[in-house]
Parts: sequence; structure tokens; C-alpha cells
Amino acid sequence: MEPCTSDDVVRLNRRAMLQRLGTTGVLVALWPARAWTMSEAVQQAMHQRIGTRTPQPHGMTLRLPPLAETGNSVPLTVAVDSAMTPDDHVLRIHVFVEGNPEPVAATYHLGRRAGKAVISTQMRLARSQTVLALAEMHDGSVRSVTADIVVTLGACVEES
Amino acid sequence: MARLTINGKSTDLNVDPNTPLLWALREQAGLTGTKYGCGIAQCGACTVHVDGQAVRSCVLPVSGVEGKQVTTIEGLAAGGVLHKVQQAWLEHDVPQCGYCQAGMIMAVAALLRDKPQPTDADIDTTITNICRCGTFQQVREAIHAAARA
Amino acid sequence: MRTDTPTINRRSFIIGTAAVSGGLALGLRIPLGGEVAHAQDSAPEVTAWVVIRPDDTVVVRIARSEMGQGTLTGLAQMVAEELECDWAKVTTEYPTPGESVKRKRVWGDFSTGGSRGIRTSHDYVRKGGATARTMLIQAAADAWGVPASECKAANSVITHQPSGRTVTYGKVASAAAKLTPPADVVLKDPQDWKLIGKPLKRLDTINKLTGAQVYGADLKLPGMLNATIKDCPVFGGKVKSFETTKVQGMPGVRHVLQVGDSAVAVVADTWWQAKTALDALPVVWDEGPNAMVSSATIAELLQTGLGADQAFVANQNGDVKTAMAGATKQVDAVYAYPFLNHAPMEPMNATARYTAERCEVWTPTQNGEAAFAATMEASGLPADKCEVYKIHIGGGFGRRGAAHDYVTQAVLIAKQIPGTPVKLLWSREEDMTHGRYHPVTQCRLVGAFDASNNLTGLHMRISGQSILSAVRPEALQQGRDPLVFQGLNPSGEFALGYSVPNLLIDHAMRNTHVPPGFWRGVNINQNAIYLECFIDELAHAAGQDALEFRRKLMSKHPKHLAVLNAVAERAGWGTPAPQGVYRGLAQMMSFNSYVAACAEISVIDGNKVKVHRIVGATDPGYAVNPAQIERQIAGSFVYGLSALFMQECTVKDGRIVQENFHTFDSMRIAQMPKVESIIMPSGGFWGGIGEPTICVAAPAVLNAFFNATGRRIRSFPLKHHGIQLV
Repeated sequence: MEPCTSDDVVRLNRRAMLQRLGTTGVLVALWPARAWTMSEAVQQAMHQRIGTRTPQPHGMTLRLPPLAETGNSVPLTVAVDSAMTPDDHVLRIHVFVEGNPEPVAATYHLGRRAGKAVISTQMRLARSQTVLALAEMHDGSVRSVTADIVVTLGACVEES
Repeated sequence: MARLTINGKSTDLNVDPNTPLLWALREQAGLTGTKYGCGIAQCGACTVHVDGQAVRSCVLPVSGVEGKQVTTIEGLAAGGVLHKVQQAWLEHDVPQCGYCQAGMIMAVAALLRDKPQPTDADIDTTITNICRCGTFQQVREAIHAAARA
Repeated sequence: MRTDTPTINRRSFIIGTAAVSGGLALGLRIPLGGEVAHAQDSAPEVTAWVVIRPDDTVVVRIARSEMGQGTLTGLAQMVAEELECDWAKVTTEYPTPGESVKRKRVWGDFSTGGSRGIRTSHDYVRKGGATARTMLIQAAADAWGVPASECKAANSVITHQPSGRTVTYGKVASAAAKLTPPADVVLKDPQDWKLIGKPLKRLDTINKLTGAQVYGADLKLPGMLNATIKDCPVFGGKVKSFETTKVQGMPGVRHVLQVGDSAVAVVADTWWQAKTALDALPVVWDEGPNAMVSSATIAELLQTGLGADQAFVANQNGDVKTAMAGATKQVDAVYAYPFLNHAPMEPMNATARYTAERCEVWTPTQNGEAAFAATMEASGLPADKCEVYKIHIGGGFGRRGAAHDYVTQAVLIAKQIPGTPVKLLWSREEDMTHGRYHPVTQCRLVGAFDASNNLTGLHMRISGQSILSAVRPEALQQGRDPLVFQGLNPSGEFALGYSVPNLLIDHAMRNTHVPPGFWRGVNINQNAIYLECFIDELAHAAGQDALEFRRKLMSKHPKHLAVLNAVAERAGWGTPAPQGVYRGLAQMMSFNSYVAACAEISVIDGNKVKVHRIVGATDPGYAVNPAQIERQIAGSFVYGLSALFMQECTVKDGRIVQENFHTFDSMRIAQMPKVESIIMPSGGFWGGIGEPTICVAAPAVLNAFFNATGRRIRSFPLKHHGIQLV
């Protein structure tokens, strides 16, 4: 396994990323400031849930501690900027965790009676990685947000 | 209350006389150079001088040193000049983590006072401090260097 | 808070500025009440790695942890090399993990373990120095209005070569700090190194000689209370009840607290008062089912793995079953290796202060970020409300890298007395019985020979505990723990140095309730004994010299062979030894370094072993500081031989039995062999220093012991066989 370096988040150049997803141009809008390799497993899981819709990175936050000692139980909060009224509400929130054996950590069904578009939970995050959250809105649009976490115990483990 | 003479200064310490000297030094006197390694006189990290003799202070109650001269690592360098053991330790780059070294230095300083030219056998029988980092090769070299200084 | 250094008479000796300023004294912040005592506040940061003061002092930021292994000085050497600064003006500082997280981990990995400190950061720290140098030169060139290409830097002085004008770093540092760092820098060719590769003196020595060095156990903060703790003696058990009233009136006692669900602590004015009260406190434990476990039940469990059908495979080629079936001769042996405690000289400790707004921890730690993560988790506060200040470590050896139980405990205590700083220091007894132990294993080795005494097959079956199963189960590879096979792999940083036509190395996992951890060397300690002692057994069975037997298996492993040949030659293998002196050999590759040892011993009365000399060789690719490497080689032999002769943690009624150094002893100077080091860096790769050599002293001594007495010892420590180190 690769030794731990400060480049825990792998940077993939944009061309390679576009080639991987077989699209052009769309991704530039999707991920303007960050170059992040979304694993194939997460891509597939994402498309299974939102089809061909393209998520827009706005209108939601993902709170995650920047470091976790073991990753066994990490507090995570996703909040979507939504009044949760009949005209503006979140249907579902998905959390994708690429470093785990199963890429989809959870799907939360909300709907307009939920009152608040916030979910808080504890998650097991197997290693340092980027966590992705998507919110499916009532009008069919999809929002996205990412956050990074470093699992420090991973950094302590020498692996051959 | 206990009146101790530490590093040449007479000090009144508000301490239970059964308190080991180690802890009176570290806590009431505020001299933390003398270390706690085991509490049962096995490791030597707590070595100080009482009337010039190397003593393991973790098992010596304060009541046992009233009226005696106690010297700690902080008092070894006289008037800002390093003791020749400290000097040799510096020249031979002896310490690794350093935690055991104050006790080691105090034990060696006492040895050199008693035996200015110790043989290896003298070192073997007198210096019994534990060092988990294993600095013994440099300790031995530095002891001989200090003896020559 | 002690920040002063004692006055030193400069006429007595010559030392660099760095030593006088205390080397590592900086970076300790005591921000109680809001003010920050931080020496670098006004000095400009040219890059995150390099701060330069107006008086030309260079402060190198060190993310890893110094624990005696010399990494602090080595990393500073590498930055200074590229920076082209005056080494006499170099000092160091630990940035905090909170700062690093705020700045998006600008200092990268903080973890110090796996002998990684230098080898996994050398390129980016050197770049940090080179980048700073480039910016300093540019700032000088800009001020002079000349091209940077006409300027050269050396010893903290920039010279404009055509005109001879000079300026020191301190004068241009502020301007340099404002420049955009270059995107790319070229690092020096190793043959141009002036500092790297030199046996420079450590930067952090002087305070350790005078009592001025502050360790976590020594920390004093205003209003601080002292605490000590007892966790349930049986791992996995809980607190049932405790009688506070019995001790709360004792002198100095302030609080008697439950900590988590398994520990009880006393908080008092002084540590001695806390300890006295805790020793007197009646506690009833709910010991749980693990109270039935003993060393005997563990040994039985391990034995079931030796012949089990199911095992994880690390290395195999050919067909071992057939080779065994067709063997003319077989050699079969079972070895066993015990639990061990790290037993650093400084017991576990952490100081914490908690309020709803902020949680701060001061602790010796091998991984500032892991301590920071533990602080956040225990306090429940977010990153921007937490901070950890790394304190100089009184011995790490792996105990202070992964588990931060003492940080969690300190925070949980502090949370119960908000606003008051509390220093939690474990007693030695608590430290001995609540470690993260070297895993327990047994090993069955079978070797097959053909009629011409060629080794045709080798099966090495390890049975025992997996560290990753307990510590990081998500790193298991379909249940397999790759770390078990350190030194035995087909390739990589821990590669086997032998080619055997039919080979099988596998592991039957048998875990226990005793929490495992990374003890210096991790799994090479037992793997080197198992393999290198058994190779000697095979050589003996074949009637061949131990070195020749090995050489025949090593033609495809030139670097392993080179270090083995080096120690054999230096020790005079093959030439007669002095009367009564016997030699033994061992080699292994781990943490990307190739190491070997030849031990020379005498045995008196059949059971008193005098180790006269050990010749140790290492090829770590590059050698940053040979003086430090020598000390790590010798020091690692002390750690490894102490374990071999004297150390074992046994289990009775679910508890660790050995509570202090009287039953878990360690080498003294009288027993220390002469160690000769051969440092032979072959270039082109970076291998570790802190651990690799630890594993070869024990098998070399054991092989020599067999040569001296005809006795093959296969379970440890040797004191159980009546054998002493004298």
C-alpha cells in the first residue's frame, strides 16, 4: 500500500477525469474548484440513484471532523438550505463513502413533512477519503457537497 | 513542614514528611529535572545526591533528608558552568529521548567523585540505571572522557 | 511553566546558537487567558517549513515527533541542506495539528512510526527548504535589481557574484515571505550534499543534561491539578462501584471520578496525593468474561493454529506438500514468542483543559493529528475549538503512536472539572498493565531436504495475534493481516531474503483479549527469530556452515546478501574465534532497509551469556545522519536483547501480571555488548532506521548460543530456561 503523504486526496487531471465519465464540459460546472477522483463505485451508485441528472454544488453543507482517530464512529451532519415547504423541499439525502466496502453509506428519505432538511449520524469511515452528499430536491434538481476526512490511525499503520 | 537544603539553598516545604523526596522535589520544590520512572528504586531515573551520595529518591521519605544536603540535576552545574559529566555528555551526544539521563548523570557524577578514574568494572557495578533507548555505549565513552577531563 | 534555559559559560565549550536557545523549546504555547507565548509571532514564515528571524536564526518546522530516534535533527538537516543556511543557526519548532488542519494540512503527515519519519517526508521537506532558498535569493535579487541567476546562497548569506555584494537571510526574509513560491524546485544531487550524510550533533541535547527539558510528566500550568487513574485490570471489564467517601478526606484530594465506563481517577493537588488516595480507594470491578483468560489458555489457542487447515497465505511458490512428501530428511520445530510491553521510561500522560468553548491537550505523542482527533472525539468539540501541543517524548517505541487512550482519559477527566487544567500521569504499574502489547504468536517451521542436502521445501506457519484486527480492521485484506508477514513477503519493503523452490508462509489468525499494538519492530522481532534460528537449524541438519547455507539461498537477493556478508567479514566469520567465543548470524529486510548482525558470545557455566560484541550492518538506501544511525542500531539491540533475555507479559485471571521493572526487567550498562555499526547506503531508495536492526540481534545471539552449547531455545524470554545475560 502506498505510504501516507500529504496528498491524501488524489488529484486527477481534468482530462483523465472527463475521459473516465465519458462526458465533456459537464463536469467543469459540477466540480469547479476541486479536482477529485470519484471512484467508479461511487459514480455507479450515484447514477443508479439520480440517473442522468447532474448535481450542482450549492445549497447544502456537510460537516465532518477534519481528523478522526480510528474512523470507527465519525459524527457527520448534512444540512440542505431548504424551507421544507410544499414548494421547496428535499426528497432524499444520499451519503456516499468511497473508501468503505459499500460506496453508499446511507439514504435518508425526507419529504415535506420532515420539518428540517438536516440529518446527523455516526458513520464508519474506513480510511482517509472524501465524503460526498447529494440532495434530491422536489423539483427534480440535485445538489451536492463534499468534505474530506483524514483517519489518523491509518497514517500510523505501516502496511507492506 | 520540612526544612530541606536543596542545591545549596535552605527551603521550607509544606509537605507530608512521608512523601518520597522525589515527589517533594518535583511538586513542592518545583524541580522537575528528577524523574519518576518506576517508584520502586529499580530504574534510577530519580537519582539525586544526598550528602554527595547517589540515592534513589523515589523510596526515600522527606523525613530522611532533613538536615542533609540534597543535590539535584538542576544543581549540578555550578555557577553556570556545566559539570564535567554534563560536558562529556554533550560532546559525545549521549541522550536519545533523554528521560533517564538526569538520573544517569547524577549516578555517574557520584561515581566520579568516589572514583575519579573508574574502570569498566567499576562502571558495571555502580551504574545500574535503566535506559530504554539504550544509550549505554555512549554513556560508557562519555564516562571515560569525563574521567580524563 | 519552565521556558528558561540555564546560563551557560561559553568559555567551557563551543556550541551552536540552536542548542543555547533550547532547540526544541519553541512551539510550546500556554494560551490561557488569551495571550500566546510564541516566539515566532513577529518572524516571517518564508514557507510553511522555514521561518527566518532578523538575526538569521532559522526555525525549521517539524511535523513528525522526536522520541530519541534523532528524526528531528535529521529532518532539520534535510531542510537546511536545501535552504543553504548556517547550520549553527538552526532551531526547530513543532507546528500544532490544529494549525495544520486550519491550513489544509500544510505540514502533511504527523505520524511517527514504522520508521517512516524521514523516508516518507524527505522529498517534500527538502522542497520546503529549496523553495525558501529560491524565494530568499529572489528577494535579494529584487532589492539589488539584478537577475536571481547571478546570485548564490551559502551559509545564510546571499552573494551577487558579479559585484560581490552580500546580504544575510535575516534581512531579506520579510520580503521573501511576500513572494509567490516557485511552482517547481530542483533538489540537489546527493553527491552534492554537505549536511545530509554528516554525523551532526543533535539539536535537542542541552536541556536533557540540565533538567530543563520539560516532558509531559513535568508540565506545570497555572491552577493545574494532578490526576492518576486505574482502568479495569481485566481488558474489556468495567467499573462496578467505588467508595469515594473512603478517600475524599485525604490530604489534597479534590475529586474522585469515574472515567468512561472502565476507569476511576483521583484528582488532587499533587500527584503523590492523588496516587496515595487512589491506592486506598476501594473499587469493585465487573471483570467480564475475559477474567477467565490466562497465558495457558492463550497458548492452547495458539497451538490450534499450528496445524489448522485454514490459514492466510503471504508467500508461496512451488508445491510444499509434494516437497515434504518426497523429502529425504525433514526438520520440524515449534517456536513461541510472548506478549511484550513497550515500557518507555516516561509513563503515559496527558494534560487537558476543557471548557464548552475550547479543549486543549498537552501530551507526548508520536502522532499529533491522532492526539488531536482523540481530543475532538472525547471533548465533543469541533476542530476549531480544539488544540494539541506536542511535548517532548520520554520514549515512544510505538506506544504513543496509535492508541491515545491517555488523551481520551485526560479529556474525560477535564470535562468533569471544566476550566481547570488537569495533568493525568499513569503510575508505572498502570503503564505496565494497560499497554498495547507486542502480539503473541507461535510458529511451526518444517524444512525438507533432498538426498544431497539441498533445501527443497520450507513451510512456515505462524499462529497468533493480528494487530490490525484489533487496531484497524478495515485494513485487513479479505480478513488477512499483511503486517503479520513482515520480513517474509515475496517483495516490497519487508521482503524475504531467501529463494526456496517450494515455499509456503502462512498465518492462522488467533486473537486474544489482550490489546495488541505496534512494539518497536512490530512483527519482525518474532519473524526474525523464527526464520533466522530455523535457517541455522536447517544448516546444522545439513552439516553446512550457517553463512554458506544462507548464501546458497540468496543469489537473487543481493542487498540482503551484501549486509550479511559485511557483518560476517567484519566479525571474522570463517576464521577461528578467540577461546570460548562463539558467533551467530542473522539477516532480515524490513521498513525498506536491509540489515544483518553477527553476535559474539561466551557462555559461562552453561547458562550465563556474555555478549562481547555485535557487528550490525544496515543498508537504508541513504544515510542522513550516521552518528544517529549508530545510536539507533546500538539502542535497538538493547531493546531487542532486553526482550530476548528478560521480558514477557503473562496473563492470569485476564490481567497482565508484570507490574514494574522488578518483574519486567531491562538491560543495564554492565550487560551491554560492544556494538560495531556498518552503515552501507547503496542509494536509490529510502529505508527506515528506528526499527529494522532491532530484529537481528536476538537470532544472532540465539544462533551463537547453540554454537556454544548445543542447546536450541525456541521459547522466550531466556530467563525461563535459567539463562541469564551477564
